[in-house]
Amino acid sequence: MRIAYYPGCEAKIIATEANKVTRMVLEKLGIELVELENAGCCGSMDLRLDNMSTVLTLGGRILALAEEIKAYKLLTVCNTCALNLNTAISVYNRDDAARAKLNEILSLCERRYNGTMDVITLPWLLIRLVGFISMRKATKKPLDKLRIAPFYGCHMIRPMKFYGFENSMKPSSIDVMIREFFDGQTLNYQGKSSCCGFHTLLTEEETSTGMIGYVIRNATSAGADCIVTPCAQCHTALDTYQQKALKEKGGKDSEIPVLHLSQLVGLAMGIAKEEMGFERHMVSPSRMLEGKGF
Amino acid sequence: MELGEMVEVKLFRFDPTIDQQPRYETYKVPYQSKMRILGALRYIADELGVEFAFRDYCGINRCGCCGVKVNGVPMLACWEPAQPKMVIEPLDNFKHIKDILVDRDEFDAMIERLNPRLVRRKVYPGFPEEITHEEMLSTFKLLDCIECGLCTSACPAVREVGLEVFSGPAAYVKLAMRALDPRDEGERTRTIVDNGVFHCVSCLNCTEVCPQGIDVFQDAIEPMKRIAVSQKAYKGHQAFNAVKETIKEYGDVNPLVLIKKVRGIWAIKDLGLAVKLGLKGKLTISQSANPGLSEINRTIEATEVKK
Repeated sequence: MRIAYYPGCEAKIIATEANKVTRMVLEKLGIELVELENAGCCGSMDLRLDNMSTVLTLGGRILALAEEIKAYKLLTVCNTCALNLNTAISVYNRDDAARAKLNEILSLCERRYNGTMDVITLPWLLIRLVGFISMRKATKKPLDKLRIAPFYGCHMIRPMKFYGFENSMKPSSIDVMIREFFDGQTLNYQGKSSCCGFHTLLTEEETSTGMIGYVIRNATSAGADCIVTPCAQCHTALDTYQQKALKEKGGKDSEIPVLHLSQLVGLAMGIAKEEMGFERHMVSPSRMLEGKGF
Repeated sequence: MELGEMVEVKLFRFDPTIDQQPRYETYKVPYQSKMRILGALRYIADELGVEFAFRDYCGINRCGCCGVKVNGVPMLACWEPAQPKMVIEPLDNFKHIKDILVDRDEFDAMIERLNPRLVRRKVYPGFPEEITHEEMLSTFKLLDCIECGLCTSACPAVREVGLEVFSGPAAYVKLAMRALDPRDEGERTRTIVDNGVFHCVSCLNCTEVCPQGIDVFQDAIEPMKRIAVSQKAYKGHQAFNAVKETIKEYGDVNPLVLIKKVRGIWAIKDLGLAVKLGLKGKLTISQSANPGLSEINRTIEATEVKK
């Protein structure tokens, strides 16, 4: 199965460990991953405020690139990229006139989009395309000792009209996955489907750190060993700004490591933890993992 | 659920004049055909004879006063089906009066603060005024707002900064309804910025909980932000330009260049964090441009001409 892979700026430039581990894990699962190297930025939430048609066109170009290599689906490990690409899909896959306009612009770079591509994120790829039997076979090291707090991130589950895969206010896909595929324990805590505040980090930092603190404090008080997120941006916010967020609220709370979903899957599949890039995390999960026998 | 099966309702009870702490009381309600959450609440009040405070009026998703939080998600009690197990609590981000009844005064004041009415300076051309569907397209759906306040209650930004700083999504729906109206001549830019729309973190909770199906984020909040950014009224507007500039320069976002452009000399405040990130290898000084840069620039330029 050939999957086009679009890591997004965050995983490509800042959280490069997510990029590396995602490839490693999916290669072991027998998926042919082809990276769209010349894809570029999807426009994020910032360009949407400048000019929405630019974001749609950039998205359309990425979809065209994925179509060109005859991929079955387009995988991204960033939730906001998924949102932007899905917005483009909602316009171009249904509306022939809009697609004709897009192709007019894309013809400048000799590309063409036929409206057949679909975007998928990592949890759904593992659940829908790889499936229960293959995942159980691949699981070498059950995660039964880990108490995991899943953090979904906003744009992977909302808006529901783009996804419709699970309840957008009470998501469960990662919980089910961890419990059924890897025998892990997942926790219910407030803020599971809340926001990490990434998109205001540059402009209203205090709002963002407040939100990061909210998630961290709730996960810690629920007794979690680690937070797991499928989104590279959420990881950057929760991991990099964690110390700052906790300091602002008195600094009494303890730090909690934040893992990428791909890293957790890698751990369960028995990949050595030295290969996962844990040394690049601001809050190192090494001690926690050693204590749990990894 | 089957007829006569028991619905388990765990109800939030708190009377500030008597109680020290809020408590939860559990009631069993027999399921009736097509039962809504409000049906269960009414049963508890009428049939079980429990005295507790809640608000309801129309029962058909029109008056917007029966909002409650059920199993952690804000919803209209009159509109959502009863679930086998329900924890019913008052809405977040509102002051609690008693039990599941909330104080709407502050919420209403926030809407009022944004002055959401048509401002017309020119002489009224007489009736009927010609407005096409196309002109009203951006406001059409927003007119469905029933001011139930579910979006404001679900908003994490309001939770963090309070209604005083950020008036909440509901107030911006009311504002957008007028500001995007082709007949409106009001000066809205300052109102938009001063009421804190840029605290919005784009989490789309508001869109999801709306009982009227309004895309609150995409149809109301984003257009409002867009107006403020295009007028350069917001102090952080250079952040949005800087993202575009880095994309034009590198094809991807370059975090180091981006922070330098946004913060200017004040980037020095984040030096500690930047050094830590640099040591972890998360920031690279020499980021190479994306191989598709020229194509990306061509697409961006093509859309700019059309703007």
